[in-house]
Amino acid sequence: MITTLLILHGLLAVALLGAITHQAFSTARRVPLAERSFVTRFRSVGAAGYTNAIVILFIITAIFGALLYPPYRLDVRPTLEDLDMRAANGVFEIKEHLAAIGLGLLPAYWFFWREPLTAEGLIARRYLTWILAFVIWWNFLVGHVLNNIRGLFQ
Amino acid sequence: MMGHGRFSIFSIVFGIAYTLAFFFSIAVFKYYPLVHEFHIADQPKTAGPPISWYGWIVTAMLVSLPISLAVPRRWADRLSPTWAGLIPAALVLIVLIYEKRWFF
Repeated sequence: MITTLLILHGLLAVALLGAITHQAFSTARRVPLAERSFVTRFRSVGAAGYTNAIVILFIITAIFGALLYPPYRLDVRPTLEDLDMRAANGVFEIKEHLAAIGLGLLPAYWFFWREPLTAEGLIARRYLTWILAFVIWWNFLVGHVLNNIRGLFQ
Repeated sequence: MMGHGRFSIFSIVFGIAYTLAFFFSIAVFKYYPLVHEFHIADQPKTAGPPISWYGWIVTAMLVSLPISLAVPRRWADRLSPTWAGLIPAALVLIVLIYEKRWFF
């Protein structure tokens, strides 16, 4: 059951990561059609269309993370403490705080991405999207490192 | 910009309330996974390690939701949209600075 949840948590995180990365890059300066490279094509998506998917994916991924927290607290964290792996515990602490702050950001993030997009909301939209992108990337990488820590740091 | 105020206030206050809740360890409840129980008061060590995270999130929700609904819409909309981005960015930075204690 825990393994299934962990795999689903990881798969949802991959989808979330893809969506938020596209959207975050889309908030950068627009480039004329003739100059478009792979990176500019990557960011020239209909970014507002990702918003509802990102909100829903973030909430579901966070719920799965919350369900996985008890086994982590009982099995993984004591092991990390016994092995004196303070940094591993630290990055997880940051992961949980960022996930909570990210959840709180979702209402404002959703509002500023509502169509039609307004010029007044541009800076807020850019900040909120990049904060969420940082949160999602951090949590994704930390989750994977901690999941594989026995193999990574023998 | 009309209508953004309550959403922005919720997100800003939620982040501040959550940060204060974990900084001062104020959780409306704690979950004890070893015994599968939620408790408002701290339990003896036999109950195993507590999880405060759920309680911090609920605490932040209980603070931010009433405040965002109580502020009159006209006042809320006077808030510059930029603050909705700047304050959460500052909170993330504060969390990273505070948690550097694990690494040094």
